[in-house]
Amino acid sequence: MNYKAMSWVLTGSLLMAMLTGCSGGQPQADKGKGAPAASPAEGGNKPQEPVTINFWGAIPEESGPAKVVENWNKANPDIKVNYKRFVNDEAGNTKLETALLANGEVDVFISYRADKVMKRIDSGMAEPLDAYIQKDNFNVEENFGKQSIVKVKNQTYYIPAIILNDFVTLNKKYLDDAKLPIPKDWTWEDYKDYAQKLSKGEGANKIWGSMVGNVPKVYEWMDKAVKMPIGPDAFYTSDGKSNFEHPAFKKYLDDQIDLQNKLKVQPNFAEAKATKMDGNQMFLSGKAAMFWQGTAVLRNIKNLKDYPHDFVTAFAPVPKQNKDDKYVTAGTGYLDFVSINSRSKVKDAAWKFVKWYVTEGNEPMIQGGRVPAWKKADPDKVVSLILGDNPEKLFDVPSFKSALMLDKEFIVDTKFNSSPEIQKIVEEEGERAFIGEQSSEQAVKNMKKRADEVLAKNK
Amino acid sequence: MKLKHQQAETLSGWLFILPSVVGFSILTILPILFSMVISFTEWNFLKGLSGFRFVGLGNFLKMWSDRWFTDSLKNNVLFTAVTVPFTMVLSLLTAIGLNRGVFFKNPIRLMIFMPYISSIVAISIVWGVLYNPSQGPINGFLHGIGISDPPKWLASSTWALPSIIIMSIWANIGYNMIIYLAGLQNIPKDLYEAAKIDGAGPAACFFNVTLPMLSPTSFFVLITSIIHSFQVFGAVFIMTQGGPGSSTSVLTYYIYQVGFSFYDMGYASAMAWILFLIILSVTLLQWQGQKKWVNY
Repeated sequence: MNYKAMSWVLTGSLLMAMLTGCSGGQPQADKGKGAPAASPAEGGNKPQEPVTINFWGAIPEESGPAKVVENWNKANPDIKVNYKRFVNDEAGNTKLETALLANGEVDVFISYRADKVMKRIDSGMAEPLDAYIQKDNFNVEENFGKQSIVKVKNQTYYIPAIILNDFVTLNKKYLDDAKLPIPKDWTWEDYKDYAQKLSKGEGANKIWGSMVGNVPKVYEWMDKAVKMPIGPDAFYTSDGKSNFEHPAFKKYLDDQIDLQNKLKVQPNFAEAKATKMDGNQMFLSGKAAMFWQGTAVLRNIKNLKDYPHDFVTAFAPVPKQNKDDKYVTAGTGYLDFVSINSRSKVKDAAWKFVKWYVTEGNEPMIQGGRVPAWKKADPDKVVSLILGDNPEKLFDVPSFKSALMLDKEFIVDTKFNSSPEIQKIVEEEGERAFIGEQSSEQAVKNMKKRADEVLAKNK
Repeated sequence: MKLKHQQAETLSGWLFILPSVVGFSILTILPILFSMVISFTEWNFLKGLSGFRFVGLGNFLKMWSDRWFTDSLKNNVLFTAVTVPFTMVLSLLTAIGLNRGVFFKNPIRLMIFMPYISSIVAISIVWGVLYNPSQGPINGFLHGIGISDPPKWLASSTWALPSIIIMSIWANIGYNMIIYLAGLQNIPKDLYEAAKIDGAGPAACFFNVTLPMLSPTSFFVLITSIIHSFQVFGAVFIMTQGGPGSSTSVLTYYIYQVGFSFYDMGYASAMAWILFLIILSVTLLQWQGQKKWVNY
């Protein structure tokens, strides 16, 4: 009897624990969801209960989004915005995509790569915005420029919030020491020459003339460089094949091989990769004289706590491959593509927020170096917000202004066929060329062959 | 009355394991069955459940002409073929060494076991620094002893996989050593005494007493090591991302890429099932083979 009683007590308490365990888990899982709070408000029965919009982006909260959300929530008590940060890497993007599929997890989201946003549109994750745009008489072309949006099936699925700038930063002190002017229009030959003159020392104390990217990648930088001679959709020919036969690709590899292996003025690719060498750290600690990175470096230049330095940073455009290259803006282009989740239950409120965010709402993001895509933002104010309180100490202001290229037409890609596979192929073959296991000629030949195979298979 | 009691006991037994049964079914069994289904489809998971397209055996057929798959499989086999025997021999030797009286036995045992309980991420980053071809301590040492052209380790297609293999062996010795130590301590001392009386030297003792008595332990270590080594992922992900070229790509890493960066869940699942079948058949083969060499 005693035994039986005990077993019932035990199972009973176990069941209790399970039940409370379940009910305890429920609200927590719901915390991130906007739906429960939102649905009654949408019915209009309880206007005092605010609609909640879950807004996903990859910028750390303290670098702007927190302020954006604060501004919005103060001005709009009826629509409450929650910011959720995802890390913009493969795993983080997967997390966003899974969340997009779950009801109520995400209402507004930002994509940070053109191929990613196209993939999401293609999969029906983004809501077409045309009806909202029309209803509000929102003139996209006037507000953001003619090329700001790549339409899919004649529909608008996102609005770009910023222009991501592509430029080379230079250590002004080293430039002055070497008596070199700030370059305004240059080729890779000039760049190599600069890199050689700016390199100093040996071993652990070596100052490298050049540094490409915060992490060593082949595709990412090649993509930007070959845009200058080729223009948009550089990786594809008009008949649906890959474009690696274009001399620009081999030239990019050759220039990089020269810098790394022949002149030894840029850290060797494989070594930089193996040691996770951080370009920001290298440049801002004075160990690299030139650094090709673009927008992302700006917030680090101002961050004297983590990157203490006392030199002025000058800016130059990305080098051209040939003097007469048609395009000058390289990787500069629209980014921070803001979309509404097609599964969102609060689309009207979400649109209201998106419209505000891509225009005046974006202001707190500028400090982090993100130039608004909104044409009505005052350029002088933008520059002064980016450069901070005493710009002359850290920035060479005139060269910075011209590096922003606000008056230029950007290069906008529209084709992304088999892009992830092509990126992997470029990464593998390019890497083998950089470490000297095959010639650049062999590398582009392999890229062409393998990419064409993939394109044919995925047709 | 007796039956009732038994029923009650069965019921409470089930109730006790219910939480873990539920968890295991929902989080493990269901996804496994689901992956079986999607391995016969082409499915971009971004499209949700509407994105399925049935392709029959297509995924299973196309992988054999996919260079990334065949390269990864080759690397997997090579990795296992080298890692497992070396790990086993080295952990047995350290276990025997530690089983005899040595000075600082506990600190040494702790040191050898440490990598096993450290995060693979941390280990990989540290080894990445050690392997640095121009400034790393390993090549510094090799230069020091007069080797003018030491391997470039992770920066070379030929040496990248061996680099990861060496690290994995080092990281896995600790765990297997502990298993072997336990096995060694279970061997009755009288066997050695009897062997000595019969005139056996240390070598004869080792080959005729220690090894046979350890065979069940060795069998366990062999099976778990092989399974474990087929699933290598962390080190590759952190240290090389499959590079240079595809020289360190392994199946788990390629499956991850196909699923989450090529968005081809069907193909990824098909490869995962092939990996499962490979591991399963290797394990079954060993169960067959154990009759010949394992003494209980």
